Amino acid sequence: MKLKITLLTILAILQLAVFAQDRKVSGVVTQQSDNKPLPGVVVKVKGSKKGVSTDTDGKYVITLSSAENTLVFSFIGYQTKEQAVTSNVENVSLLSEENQLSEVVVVAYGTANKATYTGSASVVNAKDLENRQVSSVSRSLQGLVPGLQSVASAGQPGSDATIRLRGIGSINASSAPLYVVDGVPFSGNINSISNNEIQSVSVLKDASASALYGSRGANGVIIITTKQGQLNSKPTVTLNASTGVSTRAFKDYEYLDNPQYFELYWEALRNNQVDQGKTAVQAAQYASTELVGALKVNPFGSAYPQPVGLDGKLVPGAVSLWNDDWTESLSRKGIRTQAEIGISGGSPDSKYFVSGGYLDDKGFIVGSGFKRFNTRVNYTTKVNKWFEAGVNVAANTTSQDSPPQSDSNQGNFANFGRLVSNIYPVYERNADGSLKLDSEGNKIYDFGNYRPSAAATGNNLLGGVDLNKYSSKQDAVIFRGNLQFNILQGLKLKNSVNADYVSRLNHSYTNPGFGSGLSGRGSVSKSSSRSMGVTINNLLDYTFDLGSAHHFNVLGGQELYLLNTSGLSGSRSNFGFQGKDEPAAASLLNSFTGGSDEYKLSSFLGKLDYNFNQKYYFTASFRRDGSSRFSPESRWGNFWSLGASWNVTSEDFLKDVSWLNNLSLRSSYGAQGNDNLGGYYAYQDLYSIYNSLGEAGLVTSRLPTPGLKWESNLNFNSGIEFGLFNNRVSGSFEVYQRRSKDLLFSRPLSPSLGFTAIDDNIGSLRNNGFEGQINVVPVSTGDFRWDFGINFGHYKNKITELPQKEIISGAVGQLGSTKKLVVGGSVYDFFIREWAGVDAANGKPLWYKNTYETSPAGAKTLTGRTTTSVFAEADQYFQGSALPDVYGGITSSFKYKNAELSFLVSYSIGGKILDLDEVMISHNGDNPGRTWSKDILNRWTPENTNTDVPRLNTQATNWNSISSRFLYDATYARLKNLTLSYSLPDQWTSAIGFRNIKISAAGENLFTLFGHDGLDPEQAVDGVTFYRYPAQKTISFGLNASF
Amino acid sequence: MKLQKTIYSLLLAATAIFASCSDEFFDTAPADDLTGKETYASTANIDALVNGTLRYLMESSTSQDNPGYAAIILSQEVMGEDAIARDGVYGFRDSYPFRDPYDNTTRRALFFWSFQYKVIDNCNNIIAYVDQASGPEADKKYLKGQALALRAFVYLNLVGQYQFTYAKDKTAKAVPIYTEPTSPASQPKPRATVEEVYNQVISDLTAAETLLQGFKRVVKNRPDVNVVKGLFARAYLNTGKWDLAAAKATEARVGYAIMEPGQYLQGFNDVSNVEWIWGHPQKADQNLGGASYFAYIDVTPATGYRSIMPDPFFRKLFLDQDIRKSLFELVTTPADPMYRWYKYKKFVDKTDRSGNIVLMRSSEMALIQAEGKARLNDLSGAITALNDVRIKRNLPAIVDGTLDQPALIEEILLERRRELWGEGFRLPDILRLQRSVVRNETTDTFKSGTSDVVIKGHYIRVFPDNSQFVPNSPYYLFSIPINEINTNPNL
Repeated sequence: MKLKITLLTILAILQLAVFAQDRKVSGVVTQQSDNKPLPGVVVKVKGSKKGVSTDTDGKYVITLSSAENTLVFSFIGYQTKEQAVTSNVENVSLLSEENQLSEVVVVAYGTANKATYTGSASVVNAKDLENRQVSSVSRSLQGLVPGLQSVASAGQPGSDATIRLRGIGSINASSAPLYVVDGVPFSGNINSISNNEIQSVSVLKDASASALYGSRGANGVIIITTKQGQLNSKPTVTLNASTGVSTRAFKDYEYLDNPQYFELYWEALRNNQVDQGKTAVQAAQYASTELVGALKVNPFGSAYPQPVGLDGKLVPGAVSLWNDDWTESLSRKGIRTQAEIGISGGSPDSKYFVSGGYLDDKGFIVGSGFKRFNTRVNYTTKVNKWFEAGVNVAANTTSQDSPPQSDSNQGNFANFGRLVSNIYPVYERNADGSLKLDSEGNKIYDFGNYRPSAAATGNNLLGGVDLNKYSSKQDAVIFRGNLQFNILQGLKLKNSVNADYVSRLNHSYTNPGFGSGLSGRGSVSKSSSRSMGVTINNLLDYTFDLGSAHHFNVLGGQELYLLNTSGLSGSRSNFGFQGKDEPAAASLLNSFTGGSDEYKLSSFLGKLDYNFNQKYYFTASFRRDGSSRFSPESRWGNFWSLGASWNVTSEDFLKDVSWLNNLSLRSSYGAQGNDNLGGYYAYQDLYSIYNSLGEAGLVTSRLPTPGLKWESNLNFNSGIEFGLFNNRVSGSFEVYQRRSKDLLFSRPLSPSLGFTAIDDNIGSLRNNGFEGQINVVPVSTGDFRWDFGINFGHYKNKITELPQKEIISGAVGQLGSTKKLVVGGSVYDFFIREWAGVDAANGKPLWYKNTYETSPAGAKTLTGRTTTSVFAEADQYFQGSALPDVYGGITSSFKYKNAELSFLVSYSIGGKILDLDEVMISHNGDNPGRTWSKDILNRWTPENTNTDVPRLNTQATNWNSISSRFLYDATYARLKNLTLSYSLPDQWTSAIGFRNIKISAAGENLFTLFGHDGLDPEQAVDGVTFYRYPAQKTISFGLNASF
Repeated sequence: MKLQKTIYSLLLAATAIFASCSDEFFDTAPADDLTGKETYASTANIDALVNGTLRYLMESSTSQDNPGYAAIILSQEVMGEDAIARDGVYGFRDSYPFRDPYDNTTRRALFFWSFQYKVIDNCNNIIAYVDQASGPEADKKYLKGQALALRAFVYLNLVGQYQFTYAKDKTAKAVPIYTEPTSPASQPKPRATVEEVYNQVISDLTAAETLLQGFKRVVKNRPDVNVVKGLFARAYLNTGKWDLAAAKATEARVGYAIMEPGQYLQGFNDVSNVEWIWGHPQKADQNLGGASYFAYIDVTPATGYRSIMPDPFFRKLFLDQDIRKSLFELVTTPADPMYRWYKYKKFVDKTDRSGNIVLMRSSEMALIQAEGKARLNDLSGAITALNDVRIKRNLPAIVDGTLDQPALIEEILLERRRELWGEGFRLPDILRLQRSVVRNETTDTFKSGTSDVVIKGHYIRVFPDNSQFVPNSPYYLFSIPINEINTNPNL
């Protein structure tokens, strides 16, 4: 490496000597709005045919004769500029015409002009991100990018959104896009980057845009570029501060009150006794006698030992002595505070951006929160004419308190109020219903050791939250270092070394004194992990012209990616003391373990861009990847793309059409891969180390799959971009087809073979879709401007080939499967039992099942269907897809003088959602003490036979098992963001030495339109809810100032 | 110019070579796995596979509800009449009313099937590859013998769980038999008949008995020759081969005295117990804690599931002097979650929750010996074996000639209920004897102040479809899970 640099240095010096004799003018062309370099700008000498174009860094060099002294810079979408030559360095900035199509977008290994780019890329700029009160950039993209489907599946502060680009590309491998930060695939946590550090986010959607990422680009690429300083600018300080309050975004389900609960449970008890053969009178007597014993609590006080009479009604005079609300008690007003400072500037040779930030986001669920400290230094310098260097270093530390929140277990804070009915007090009560107080007069948490299992025996999350711990801390360093050698005019060698370092420390502790830790006298587990992803690449970039019409850029090189993760964890239990939460204080070692993984990827890549006279653009790219994931036989894969675009407005026949500012057409085709199938050792037969009783142990874990290889995606894209009427109307529209083949499949095996699945490359699927956006400026006067934009995406996901006739998939815990894959269907087609209502005669739940006729020869033919009250006997049927028909966003802003009001609405139309949260609260009496939905009031009784809630009974009837009973239309719209801001007039700000001061009020998730009460519509791409932390509403006030 | 370009190109190429693309560059290995080649390289590694397979059998679990093989033991208890899944607590509250594993869509149905077949595949691998490993020949013999014994144990359990007993219909389809390791090309197999499965069991045990001659185990969870003989005894008892059952049971008991009365009160938690022929030790760092066998069956702690309760009628099967009767305790404190229940304190966990799990005891063997002889009408032989147990439980010896054959058989079967409660024998006995579960509602009361409080007992006394309990009901069987039905066209 050292030798190489020395050699290059010598060569570069030689080369300077060769050129020094000519009168040359050089410089950088940038975009005026943000000083991003503009590649492909045509630089011509006025009064001559001589011309060159700028390279990927916006640089040009042109030779002038003594008579020539003016340069003309022209570029699609920008105002042409003439510049008198006064020195050897002429840096020029071009003013964009008011049109987002003229943007420079950061693309794979470089930048491009959006109007003429052959690929499909969408851009989200700093301005779109700055008002968002979310703590991960992944959550800011929803509704802004056509074709991007984002589901923020948890309200937990700091959690990421699930993102799908252009449909579902895979079944068992990951369908998540690749994140790239400052040019290099990112191996850290995306929530460690603050929105305020981000200059732009590019979303690459088609083959032409993402094929250069080869085996990792199949699901699209999201490129995050951080802010840079500007050359020749004096230091500017930017301050941002905001504070706000978070609450639940929408109303919870409605629950029974205590008298209703007792009456209905009485009914369940009585009905069971009747079923066991007792008379109605005996059964009622039994129910009245046993009711309190069964629920283990009597909120009506000892004066009413049998609160429900033989008639099933609350006895006169009985009043619930407490009405605690578990859901309420675990909620709070969370405070969100954020403060950031950024300093940027630059000399003629160097530029810098330095920032620091602090975020404290407390969720509305007690005990949840996210804290982040982040700093960043981005510095670029041009040492001399042939050598440039840059470094971006970011360090941050985050701390997430995330109490369990996404499972059916008792510790789930989001679900606890749906487990423990309000018949149980939150605080200990005396027999008369008054609160018990300790010696210091404080209320005492009731841990309910007496409660039935279904009501979280011995658990009071509110009482435990201050005693227990669920903390996860992360320290990360993001390093991007690059060197550039300008070898010849237009020829550059770029070397970069990049590292993403993440260190995590998790600490969870359950106290020994109260709640679930009681039986093991508390437990603690602590784990630490370290992950280091290193990317090294060496790229040669050559921009040149042949004649004045043929413009070329060639990029070629090699890249290496090494990921090393290592971790250790241990747990102990049996604490002798309260208040000590470290393993050192626990007396019993339960486990200590550790492991490490390595993943290596070696790649060669190349790209050719060509344009003819800025009218016809062609791109070809190629990448060859070798991965340690696969066996030597199938290790290497080739990925490629071809793309073309036609800038129609550059044609002579449109020169005089003044209403058409821009029109371009593009198309691309190519292949990318997906190697993200979970494990790193995807071909060997493996035996898990499973030590036992202090001796070595092993057990089979994986069948060998020597032939396993990447999944390939073949992508076709075709699109149009336009700008009309002085760009008052602009937009784009694209159609695409994504075909995935050699799908990485966990092909289910018969459990009797000893394995439940084997990894395989079988099957293919297809996503056909279109997407588009339209931006309109309906009003634009001197003081008032109204912007309006709408975007939409649609796709049809279709399985085109499978290894077997059908595959049952989508298992949800113990509740069973929810989907079936068949050729012609989609990946997320619900295949569940179909609810047939409640049998009016006996109140039993009914589902459909097929009926068959068996011929004498034994052949079965389907004759129709009937109903059954036995869940296991019912057949499963297709019940629609979880995937939406159309999804997207609507944005608008109104600007009047210094005030601006803007909003973002995201919407999703079509698709189904399976509400398993409702299942939790819809039991028929088989879960004593469990919270009961208000819907249960409508249960079947001999008097109320026309209902969809069955007869109550203490034995499970399975009616709340997965069926179409709980399947709802998933259509919704949500006001994601509403911001009102006001910039103080310049004369005021300049008087106190500020360049600009803006105050704003913003709201996140203020309003949701959804047809099914109680459920958060934003749950998961597969349409299955699972007791998650619901979305939160945040209202905040902010100050933004710069000087 | 041209020269320079050439030099640069060469430099670039050189850089590319730095980043090797040779196979060694890509060599990575998982930290917590061995490859098949490594596993089968030595007998030491294969011994680890036996050890891991035993742990898998005993400790693989799903969430909180299925603590390994103990989940089967507990299900087979609460699906009988002597044990009850306490109302309102998790554990086996859906097995008690015959809802799972009867329902083939449940997690329990899937677990019971899958984990037992995984054990079989591990055994098949050991049997197939042990001969090629490096290591002493004796070790190879012992390892193969242990794998065969374990495979026989699992098939013997499966055939009784998924089909009615041998005497009812030995040609009925039971479960598939796999004897080869699963490979990527393996096809799922059809169900074999009850008789075919028993033939496999006997053939495996026969081979194991020879191979394990001379095997001295270090830990009691390894099947040795006594365990093999005990499994023979169980298999012959199920198939009505009374003489062989009695003979093998007698041999299995050799070296394992029946424990003294006092030891019966020590909590059934340690493999060092003189009469445990086979049992699985536990350690503090690997037990299933709050969802273990003991968490469900040990009713003595202040918190936890504590869900398996005795039926008050079961208590009445004991004479007062029976040491086992002293283990009953009625809970009369209203604040106690087990208020109005009898506790049966046979199983008491260790303080670090590492209570060991019993799999075979000499008392069971003595009772098989007694039953075999009784059915062969060797009444005095039967009584001798039965008295071996009775005397150690503080019961008077039965005098030869006081019971006729049917009465003696009934007495032996009652002794099985009294002696083996909580060890998973009740449902298999009901199926083997082709009898019906009998559950009655108790009317027993105790005095609390001035009022009579009803003691808690059976609260489910009919099948889920409200029909009466009958012999040979499909509700007594485990069901083949829906996942197997969906993926195995040959079934």
